[in-house]
Amino acid sequence: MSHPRVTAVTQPLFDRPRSLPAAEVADAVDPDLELVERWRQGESEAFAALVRRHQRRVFGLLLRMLGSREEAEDAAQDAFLNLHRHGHRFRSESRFSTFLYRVAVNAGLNRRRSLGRRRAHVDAFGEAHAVGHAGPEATPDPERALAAGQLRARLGRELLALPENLRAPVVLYDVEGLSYGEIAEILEVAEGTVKSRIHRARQALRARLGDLVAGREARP
Amino acid sequence: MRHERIARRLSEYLDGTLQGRAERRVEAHLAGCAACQTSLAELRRTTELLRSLRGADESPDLSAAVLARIRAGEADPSVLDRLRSAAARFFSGGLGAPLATAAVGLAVLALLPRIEIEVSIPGTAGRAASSAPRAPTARERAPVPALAARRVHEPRLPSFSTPNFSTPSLAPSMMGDCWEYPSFEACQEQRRFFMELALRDTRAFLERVEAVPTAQRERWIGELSRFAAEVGSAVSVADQLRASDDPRAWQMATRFEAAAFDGR
Repeated sequence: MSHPRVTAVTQPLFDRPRSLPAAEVADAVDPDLELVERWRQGESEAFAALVRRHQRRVFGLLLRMLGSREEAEDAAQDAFLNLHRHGHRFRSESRFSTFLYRVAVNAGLNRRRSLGRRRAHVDAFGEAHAVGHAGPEATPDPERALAAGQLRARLGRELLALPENLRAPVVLYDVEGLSYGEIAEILEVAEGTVKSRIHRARQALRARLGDLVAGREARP
Repeated sequence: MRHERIARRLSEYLDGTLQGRAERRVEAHLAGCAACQTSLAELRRTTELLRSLRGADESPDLSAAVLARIRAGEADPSVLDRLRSAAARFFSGGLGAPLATAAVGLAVLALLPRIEIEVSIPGTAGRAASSAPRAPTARERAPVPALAARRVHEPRLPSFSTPNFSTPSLAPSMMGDCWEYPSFEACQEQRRFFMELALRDTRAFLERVEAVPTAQRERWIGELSRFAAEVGSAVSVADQLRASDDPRAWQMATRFEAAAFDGR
């Protein structure tokens, strides 16, 4: 290629993250197995420990799927109850967290189905997030905290605006950091489908986020 | 078309999951394509924003409520589960699983009137039977206005009770984009037919699309994709069209995706 000028511009584009969070842990021993084993032997405290360990991610995923903290909490409770009910079906060929995600996604879909499609919650979601839920890295600076909250609210709204089958893959990949393979297993679709849906979801989000993502100088 | 093919793989490239030739092809194309460079930069920024949501939401501690509900019997296996596992034990052996499933099927048929309630309201299984107190769910704790706001809106096709189109009872405006058809039903039926064809047989669908006069084709596809979005199938249609190896199908998939998006 003899386009020195263009190449100079594109060079920084290529240094993207090679090692993904999901890929790093993919081969490690499943850290949940010990608790799962103790739970199977009847130790209810082990189950409670599993709930505490995973509730944040399960709740976060369901919040993205459902758009309301209240619904997400109920769905997360349902998910853990279902986990308790069907836990014996878990085989350690897949990771426990993958199994749990599948249970959680199903709980979310069930709840959505039973409630029908609604838009009212989109607004409630935005408000709840703009105020008071600044998240763990909240700074003492109230202005920055507010801006961060508003950004998250905006992202939440745009995610909710995606069609259901595009939203779950992109949330699981980009927000939760799972791998294509895990997501394919969770959603029970082919890996190629996962890839194309993630791409379409990002394209749609990119279009909707407009100024927030346009141009490199727009970075905060 | 090469550009489009590359553009569709930018996410995979960004995620670092392309290898070897595929990766080199994308890089070679990127070096000379400003549009793809912009796409890539914006996609990267989008993923960065999404990643900032990771762990951002503090979850309430669910363990106490979950354990209370388990103690109240809510996680007990349902009648169906008990039947299934009992049958599996009975038929344990090479043909265990299928026989067990068949046995459960028969048992369910026999018991249908009795277990109907438990089957139709999953999640409440055992609740009625148990007298133990149960932690209230977030929904039950919610104030009444929140409940009122949560009405079920099911997407339904517009329906008119007794349409009589020979003496038009509907103003053209009420027919929406169906005003040219002899009846609203005929219009909806035709769209449903084409949508189902698109889901079933991409090639046949494309042939039918080609048969629509060029001047009307654009509008026709627009109407069809809006219809698909209304009935909630636009994304499935788009998926189906994307899976085709025909570039015409990909273009049409974009229309359906856009309609699904607008319909939200």
